[in-house]
Amino acid sequence: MSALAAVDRWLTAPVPGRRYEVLRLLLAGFAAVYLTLRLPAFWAIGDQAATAFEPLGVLSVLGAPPPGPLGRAIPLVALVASLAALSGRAWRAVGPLWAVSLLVLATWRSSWGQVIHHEHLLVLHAAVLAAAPAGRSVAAGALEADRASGWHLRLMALLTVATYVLAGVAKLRLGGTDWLSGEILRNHIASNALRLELLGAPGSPVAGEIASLPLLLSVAAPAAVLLELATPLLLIGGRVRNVGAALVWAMHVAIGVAMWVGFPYHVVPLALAPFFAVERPVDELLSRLRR
Amino acid sequence: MRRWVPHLVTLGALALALSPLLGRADRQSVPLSTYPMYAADRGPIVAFPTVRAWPAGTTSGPDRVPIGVLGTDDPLVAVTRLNQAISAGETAMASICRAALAESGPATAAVELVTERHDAVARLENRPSLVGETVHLRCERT
Repeated sequence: MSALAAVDRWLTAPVPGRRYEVLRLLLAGFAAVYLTLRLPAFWAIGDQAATAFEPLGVLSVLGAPPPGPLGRAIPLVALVASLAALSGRAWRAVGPLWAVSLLVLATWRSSWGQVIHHEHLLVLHAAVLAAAPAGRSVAAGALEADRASGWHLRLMALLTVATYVLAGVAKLRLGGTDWLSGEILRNHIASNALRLELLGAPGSPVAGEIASLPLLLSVAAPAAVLLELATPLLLIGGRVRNVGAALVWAMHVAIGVAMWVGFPYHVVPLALAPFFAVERPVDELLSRLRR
Repeated sequence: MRRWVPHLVTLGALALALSPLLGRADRQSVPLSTYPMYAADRGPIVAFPTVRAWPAGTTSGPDRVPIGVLGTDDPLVAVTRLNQAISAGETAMASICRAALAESGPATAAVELVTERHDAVARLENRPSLVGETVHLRCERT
């Protein structure tokens, strides 16, 4: 079998149609909860001076921030679109609307001087899922046949891998071998702790202990870069995927504990959901609840 | 669907996602980025803006005014807002000062908007860390 045929077989190998539906429930459910919890913070963003607005991406064409009411509508529209996506009805219209609303929201939020990277992957995943047979009616049809082409799922997994590889490469390009020594990681942990302290915000209770263990950092830093660069191996599946995904998740938890920063989409961990048969645990849970 | 469509779309999307590799290493946008968070070395000496509240009638040091006064609970956003206010000048800073005074209550005699420079590692190890500071604005309670 040629390499191209192998790629074709891997990319388009069918998956249970229900998987897309469950992914939609998970991603749209996450977006709805996240936006509900963060709505006041999102609303406050637009209250800043117009001079703080530095438009990025699809908003680059704007010379000024959207006026107050429109700015407040952006997170609200995304929330309503997430709830509509959760319902799964009229997916061909709702899916793209949901994806675009998340893209605009994430771009608008990051256009105020601070790029919030942990929202990028949700935006990318939503864009792919919007084009997939993930709606209620479509998924029901797919469920009858029980198989749907899996290429959207594989693309979502590839995008997850791409973001990790990019992050690993960025550390090597910007930090070089110093990053691998653990010194830069220690400086970031210390810098984060100081920032939180100066802002009167709670910080990591163990940052001091972690930063005082150079041996731990000299192992953790290269391990983190290696893990990010090795995420393509997750695509192999099976035990390699399971172990790799567990390590990636553990890395996010460790970052959260050491630096007191949250990557909610990654910690949940929906970033890795496209790699797994997510319908199995969900269906199992549903059947237990029905009993 | 034609057989080549999934391949073409996948290849195009992946190429787009990886395209930031061709640009500057610290290029950030949405939804494409190089993901440079925590990648560059800032060194142990770092400067952050802070809002300090001085209690009335005591000789103790200042308290830190919580970031909620800036309308956010995100530290990164809070730092950005403080730095933007400092760059914008006295009117923007005075607005934060007033909000901080109101938030701090009557026990606070004055509020300062300051940039403090610290050895962050020394701070974490409970050693003296302050390297320097710039007081941008001080508001007294009248």
